[in-house]
Amino acid sequence: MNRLSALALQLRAVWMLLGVALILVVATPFFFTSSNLMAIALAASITALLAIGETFVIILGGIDLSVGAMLGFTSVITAMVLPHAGLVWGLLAGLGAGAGAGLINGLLVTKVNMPSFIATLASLSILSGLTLYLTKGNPVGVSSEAFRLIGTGRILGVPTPIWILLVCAVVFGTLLARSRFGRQVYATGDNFEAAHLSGMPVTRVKVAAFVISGVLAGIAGFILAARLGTAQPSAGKGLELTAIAAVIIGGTSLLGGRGAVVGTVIGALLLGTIDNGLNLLNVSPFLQDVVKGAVILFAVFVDRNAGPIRIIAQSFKHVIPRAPTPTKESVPTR
Amino acid sequence: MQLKLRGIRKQFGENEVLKGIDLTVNGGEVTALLGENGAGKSTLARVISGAYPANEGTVEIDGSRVSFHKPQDAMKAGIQVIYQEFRHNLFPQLSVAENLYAGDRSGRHGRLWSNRVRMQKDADEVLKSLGMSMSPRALVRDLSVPQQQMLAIAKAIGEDASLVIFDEPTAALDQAESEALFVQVRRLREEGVAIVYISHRLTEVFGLADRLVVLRDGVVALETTPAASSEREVVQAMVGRPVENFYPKEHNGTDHTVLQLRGLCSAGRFSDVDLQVHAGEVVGIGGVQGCGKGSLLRSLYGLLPVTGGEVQLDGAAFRPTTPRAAIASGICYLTPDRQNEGLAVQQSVARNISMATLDAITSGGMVNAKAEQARGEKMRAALDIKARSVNQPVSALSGGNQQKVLLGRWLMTNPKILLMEEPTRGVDVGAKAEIYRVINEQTSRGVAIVLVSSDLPELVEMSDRVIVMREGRVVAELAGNDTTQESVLHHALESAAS
Amino acid sequence: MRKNTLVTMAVVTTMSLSLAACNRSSASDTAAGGTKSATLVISTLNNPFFVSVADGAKAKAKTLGMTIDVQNANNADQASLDLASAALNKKPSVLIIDPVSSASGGSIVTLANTGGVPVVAFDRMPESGDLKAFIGYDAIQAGKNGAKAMGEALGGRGKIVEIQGIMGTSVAQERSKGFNEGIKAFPGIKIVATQPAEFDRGKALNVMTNVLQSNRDIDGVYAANDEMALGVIAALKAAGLTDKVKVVGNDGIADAVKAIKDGTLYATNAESPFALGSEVMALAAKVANGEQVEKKKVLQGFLVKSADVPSYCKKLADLGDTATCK
Repeated sequence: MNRLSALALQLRAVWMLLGVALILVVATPFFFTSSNLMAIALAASITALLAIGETFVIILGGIDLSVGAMLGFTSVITAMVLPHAGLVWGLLAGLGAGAGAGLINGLLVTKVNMPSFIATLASLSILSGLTLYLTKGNPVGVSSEAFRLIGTGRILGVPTPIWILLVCAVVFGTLLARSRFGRQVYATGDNFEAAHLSGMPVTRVKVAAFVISGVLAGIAGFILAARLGTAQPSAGKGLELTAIAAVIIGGTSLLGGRGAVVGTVIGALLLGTIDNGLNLLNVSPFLQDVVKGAVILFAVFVDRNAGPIRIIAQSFKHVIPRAPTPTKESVPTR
Repeated sequence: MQLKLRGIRKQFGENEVLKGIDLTVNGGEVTALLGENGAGKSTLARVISGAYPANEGTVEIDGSRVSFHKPQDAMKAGIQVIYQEFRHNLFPQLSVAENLYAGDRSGRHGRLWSNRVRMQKDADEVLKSLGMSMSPRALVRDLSVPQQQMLAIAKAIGEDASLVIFDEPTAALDQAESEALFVQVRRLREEGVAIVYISHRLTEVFGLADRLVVLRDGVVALETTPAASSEREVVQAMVGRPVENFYPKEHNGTDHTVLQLRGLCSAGRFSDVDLQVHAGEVVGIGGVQGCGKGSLLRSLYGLLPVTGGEVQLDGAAFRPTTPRAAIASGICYLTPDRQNEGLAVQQSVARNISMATLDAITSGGMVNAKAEQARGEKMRAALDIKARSVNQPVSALSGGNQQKVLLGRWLMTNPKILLMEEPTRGVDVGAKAEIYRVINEQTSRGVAIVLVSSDLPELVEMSDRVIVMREGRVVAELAGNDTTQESVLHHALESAAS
Repeated sequence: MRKNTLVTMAVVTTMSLSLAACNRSSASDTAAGGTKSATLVISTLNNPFFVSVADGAKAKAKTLGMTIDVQNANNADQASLDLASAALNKKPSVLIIDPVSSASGGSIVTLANTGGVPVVAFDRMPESGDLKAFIGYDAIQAGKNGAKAMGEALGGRGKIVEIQGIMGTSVAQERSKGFNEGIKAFPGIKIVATQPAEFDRGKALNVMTNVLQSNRDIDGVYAANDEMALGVIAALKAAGLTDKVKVVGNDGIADAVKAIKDGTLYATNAESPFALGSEVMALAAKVANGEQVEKKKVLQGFLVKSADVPSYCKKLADLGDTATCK
């Protein structure tokens, strides 16, 4: 697809977000307030950070199921180091723990050639077990005020975690879209052999993506621990699925070779908006999971190539970007 | 059977590929379908086989109108297709027998449970009757590419076809295997089956076909017979303009040796290879599948291990370790499998072109996107790559243009030595000519080229010298007047006799 | 490919073996007579409440001279079934469970019945099977206690939010039911929002933050457990509302005690997990010895407000719980 269509795929997440937002604006006056919008971004910041890391791994054609467990692990490490060595060392320890866990994932996938699904499932188990063991199941409190500011502070009236998310999104988004490493990620994910034959350091690229995932899990871990005032061993449990959902909704393909950070962040915001909407509208707890699942299903299903939408879209042919035509080669390529 | 197509039109979105095709195909005849990529051959094949419904026009079988909504409808009418990508015909995880009888509509091999024993027995008979030597129990993914193709053919034959469409059947076969294929095709013809044969290989088509149909820009440009026409006329019809010398080889060889192989071995693949390649020279390597010609190239590129002997680049010792190291030393390798090893098809043309040379446009870790685009535009112009934009994904391009993109990637590395394997496989005539022009241009600049090709005319015409390999060893070196298709074949096949 | 298949298999095997090794009890079973053994399949150890229960049980077992093996089902029905089956194969003198869900609990009890091992359950009632004894906190009363504390804290008037637990469990449902019944005694109090937060601190933080967007002007929050209450407090802190809004929780865990001392949590319905564990073990010991016990023992929690903290802590210390009040 040309650049416009590729952008349109990312923009799909934007359409969906706007759609849900529109419904909520109509449904309640409390949605469209600056404090509520910031609350959404704040809550979504954790999953968004995990999802950014996940984007790299998925574009490479892999998947990282251990991000939730990494979050719990790194936040516990940080909380344990903080009182002894201070803020900076605490943060570095957390980042190091995340990078280390990511490195192990990367090595399992590249050197031992395990499918990433299995490798990260194994590390999920090992990391959450390790975390439980270190804490004996009890949360580790954080008393450092400086640390807590990471979660509860504000800069220019906007909560710090949102700034952190913004910075990470820009840094990692630029890395993916503009750097040589980013090019290598796309190429390796699209066609591993071709990238290898082109002289790209494919193994290093793959490992690096898992390390990035670990580092971002570490950052997400700080924020959560800072917001709550404690590092909980079970903190990240289940978040990996939300992160992956955000990535897919954002337009990244599970097959690899396609995707961008922007779409992922929007996907995470979409999921956060749905949660927010459910709370704002006081939707019954028994219905919440149903509504959430239905919205996500609908959102992903409504591809602009799909049935009824296409018919409507074709009448607006010149306004909405065209779907890509089949290849001229006799054979579909992938 | 007789298949009659009248006024067939087919469009995808705004792109009209078939613009009113009238065509008659008769049983007991081989009708060759020729044309450049994008002319509509494959689309037409798919319309006939029921994979695509036509937007306009009629299809008649033996005088009565038919309309196919899905491939099964066409199959019921007795139409079978052997695709170029026969992955579409086969199930790699299943055995030969299971594949042969995958569509077992008669329930002969069991309705609920599959009767394996009977299936294998039947498979054995069918394979033997076709002269194929594979075991019915072998898994398809373990078969070699030509064997898979043979199996796809056997399958189509087995399903009582009245019309068989062959789409580029010899693209992955060497001489010997192609001959075996022609035997089958002639057999089918004798049994009264109508055959549509799509191929780029003119010599082959002239030898095999009863009728020639040339498509150009979605319409029939020429309908004739081999006897009444010539390769030149056909090519002209395909391209729409007179084509002078089909193999425009220039001879730019010098005396300066850039690549020297002495006693090179790779255990189990080739041994004792001595070779000298000079700047500006094209050295062709001929031989049947498995003779080691492909392995030789790949080992020079660091993809296969070298277990003995030495390589010298420009007089200095060279150990091929990884593709990255090879590229840095000025060697590049054009893979024969552009789909699986060559192109990142979802990435844009511009990105694919710069894929091996990102360092040159990277500073501070960031890629200069403008430069990447500019390079893409430059290469597009230089190689006449037909694409709406260099930001299109490569998947949107035809085979020939894709190959040009791949070639463009390597040209960007300013190589000293270009290792090319099957550079014009699945490529249309126009693109072929372009690639040959590039070969000439590179050699005139002093680049040394090693050319592996199973397209004999190409090998012979585009090389300055041809070495022939057989079972891993170099058995002949042909130069000058000795370089003929016959002599290459002779040396390549000699073991068949012994 | 072979090497990699082998390694994958090795990893998987190691994982299973280590799981099995964890399953092997710390003290092996001996024949009847000798030391009695108990296996406790606990729903989760990821919640300090249940960690404390396990501690209480272990401490009691020690004083009674029994061995106890604690298995963690990690809030997964299937895991609890698997662990129970594995445990039953070793024929402990008594099986103690706190079901992940009433359904899976029922399956486990039935399994134990077939295996001839007596079962004691606590906290959540299994829906089927022949139980020797059940001990649990009265969840409806817990809700009512919470309502009482809320009414008191607000002086009988105000707007409140109810944060519920995992509504698929009977505990969450009953606490909510009890709370709603109890709050009727305060006609001046209105519940303006009811949202679930899965008994999780992080989720409660986000849910409360969202609820605050449409309900800024509230006076109190009832959370069905302390973990959620603490999440609520964090959200209130971020909004600068901890002075204005009174929070009531349930459980009586260490962080809650601290919060009560700090004044951010008004009260909690303490269901000392340590005491629970202790009681459970005592009951299980009796069952293991073949004694008759009352089939259903309902424990009552009690409200702990800031004035009550010292006596609560002493009570816990007497039981042997040194962890909660640090």
